[in-house]
Amino acid sequence: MLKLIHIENIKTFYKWRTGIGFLAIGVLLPLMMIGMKLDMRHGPPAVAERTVRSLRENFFVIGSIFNGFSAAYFVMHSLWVHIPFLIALVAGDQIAGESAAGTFRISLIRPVSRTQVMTAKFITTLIYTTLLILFLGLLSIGLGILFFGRGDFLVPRPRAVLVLTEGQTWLRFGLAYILAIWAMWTIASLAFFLSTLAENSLGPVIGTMAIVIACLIISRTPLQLFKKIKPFLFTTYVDGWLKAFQEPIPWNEISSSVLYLGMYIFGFFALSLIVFNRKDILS
Amino acid sequence: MVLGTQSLSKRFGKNWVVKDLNLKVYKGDVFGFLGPNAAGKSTTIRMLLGLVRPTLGKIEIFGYPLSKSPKKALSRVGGIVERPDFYLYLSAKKNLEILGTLSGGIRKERIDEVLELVGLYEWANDKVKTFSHGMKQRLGIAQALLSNPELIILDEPTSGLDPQGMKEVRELIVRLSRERGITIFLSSHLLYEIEQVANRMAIINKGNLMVQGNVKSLLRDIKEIVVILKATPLKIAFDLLRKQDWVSSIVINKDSLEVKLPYNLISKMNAFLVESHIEVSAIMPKRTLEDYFLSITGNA
Amino acid sequence: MKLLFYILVFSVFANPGFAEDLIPSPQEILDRVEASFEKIDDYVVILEEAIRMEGVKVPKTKAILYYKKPNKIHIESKGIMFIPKQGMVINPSYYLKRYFMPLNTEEEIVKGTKFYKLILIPKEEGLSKKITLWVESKYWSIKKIKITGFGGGSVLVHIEYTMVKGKYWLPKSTLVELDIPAKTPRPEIFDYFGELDARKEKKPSKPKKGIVSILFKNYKVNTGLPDKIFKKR
Repeated sequence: MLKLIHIENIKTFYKWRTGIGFLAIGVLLPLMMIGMKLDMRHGPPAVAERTVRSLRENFFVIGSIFNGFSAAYFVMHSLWVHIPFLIALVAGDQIAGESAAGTFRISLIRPVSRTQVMTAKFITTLIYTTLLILFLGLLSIGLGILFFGRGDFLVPRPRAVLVLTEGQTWLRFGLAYILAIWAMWTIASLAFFLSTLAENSLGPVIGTMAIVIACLIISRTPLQLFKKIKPFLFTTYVDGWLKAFQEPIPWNEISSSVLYLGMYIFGFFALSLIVFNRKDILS
Repeated sequence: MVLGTQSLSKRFGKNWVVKDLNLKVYKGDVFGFLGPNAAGKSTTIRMLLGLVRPTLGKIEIFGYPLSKSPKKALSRVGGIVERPDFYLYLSAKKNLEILGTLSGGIRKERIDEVLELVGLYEWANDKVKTFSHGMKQRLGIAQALLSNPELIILDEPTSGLDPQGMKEVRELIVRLSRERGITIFLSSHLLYEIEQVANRMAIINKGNLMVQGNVKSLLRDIKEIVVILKATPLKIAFDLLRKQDWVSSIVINKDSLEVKLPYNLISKMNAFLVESHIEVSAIMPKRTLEDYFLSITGNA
Repeated sequence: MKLLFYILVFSVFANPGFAEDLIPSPQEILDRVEASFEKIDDYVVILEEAIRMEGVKVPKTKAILYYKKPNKIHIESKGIMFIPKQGMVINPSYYLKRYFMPLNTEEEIVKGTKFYKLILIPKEEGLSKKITLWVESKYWSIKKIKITGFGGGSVLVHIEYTMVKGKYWLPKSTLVELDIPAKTPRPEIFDYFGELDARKEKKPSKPKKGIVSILFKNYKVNTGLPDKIFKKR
């Protein structure tokens, strides 16, 4: 299996489209940091000010309420809708791409089970997703510290003030990114499943984004019917990474989110196996 | 028996594209699988290689049922299905490394050997997207030979090649069979191609098996045959032959004649022309599948 | 008889407690508090703060406080620090004399220590309505402050002192008890569907009660701090 994963990694990471996600983040993030730096000539960003506004009546606020960690938090908050597209771009290509290219006609005639091939492809998809999110995290925190320094982190919250020490902040970001990776694995699994149904990768990419956006709309629209559906949508749990910055950390809620998303990951993968094992390679 | 099918059938929707196919391929055979376009050849080959699930029936390869033991069944099989498609953004060598891993692991030396065998060693590190069609076809054969298979299944291996390329592929097939004892199952829609390389054949039409057996025996049943005759002077040969009642039909082309006559009178025609002081340079049978269909089905 | 009268008067005046038995005026007390700060031109001190308050979770933080007479202050912190505006007693007399008018003085004995209790009211509108000071009579330092009236809340500050280098009586710790009233909620907001938008509904904030403790450590007094320190952001 390790060898199969290795060759799937070669097939995936040698493709130019795999680099799109990293390139997009690599270009966008510095621009965002520069933009924030320019905005801060007039004072800390509004999001940070709002958090301490209620305290300023009775307290002097000493120290920087917006630093590299704040910038990284802001980036994470802004990009989590766009990152699924970059993930679907590769995950949706895993099966459909090979169908379109016709390469299944030389790979699947080998003495290797389709289950093994699919498992290797799925793991590669998860590896790509993990690397992309880690790249986002390291770059945003790294650039953030470079542009804005480090120190205690004032968590932007509307009704409470939470300051984390630098040591605590690193741990919280670590937890947040682990949860973000888990959430994005769900998106990747959905795109992977849709890839088994299509003969070219455009369909799974569009399909994934359509489903994500539709679910988000349902989650955010305060209709009674939608409120009943909401607990069953995976998009309800994808922003669980925010809970890493609550105090105390709501471990029960996080465990529930992780469990629900895990069910979706497993479910999408199982469906992918079923579909692909029964699929006739006719291309 | 190396490869056998029992009542093999495939349905897409309501359409049965392969019906009740019973094939037997023995060790050392070069087995030709013939049929016109859309006869069910490709679907059959895809089922033999595990790309398509049969609706009914069984496939056995080296004694292992394909549905239950696909790994064991395919472990000694190599194949090409239609035009071989590779990972274009990777080199030829990298493609073969990937396919070798899928085959259970191949020595690096073996990759060099097969590239050498098909004449692509010099381009081993070039990306496949730079390859011509003929080079890709040869690379396809290389990947089929990668795991030292005992059975090779080829689907229209000369498709898209120029005459020189076709000749090379046919020679390779014959060499593999004679020198290495590899059993070969190849499909084609060209009777003369199968006739040149195969010892046994089966013909499929509209999903149904028409005939199966030894090539020579099957083709001997044809009563009449069209031959391409090259002779000098051509016009005189034409005039002489068209007066003979044992010639069914004759057509004059630019540099040859197409003569239709009973199979057993070819030597008589040769002797007749020589006696008439006509210099005969070539007599080649021109057999088409359609002609064969007509002869075995008796359709005019 | 006359002699007895003069002896009685003398004994009263000769009594060392006589001057002390007389309650000084609020202005005199504030002058003595200010005098106790006269010796201090500048100091640097390390602050260590801990906050226990509802809705506020802040780790223990350190900062460096620079002070230069009469009213220059600069605080540096690697972390984020929330320093209660009413709780920092840097040079209170300067602040109090300029902004608050002393009303009256009472005497209190607490655990054997005499305190002068001053009640002050602001000279200007909009400032805290009433300040009560407890000044101890030995070093003329403010030991306790109670501020009431701002938006209905109150602040209670307890200050402990220490002798630095044998001659400077400076705060060692302060304990600030805050009682901040609840804020009035904003109007409710309805969305396009006529449904109450729960995300925008503002509930009344809870009153904030909490304690802020600040330790003052490692004083460096009268080292000649340059003005440029106080120009840093």
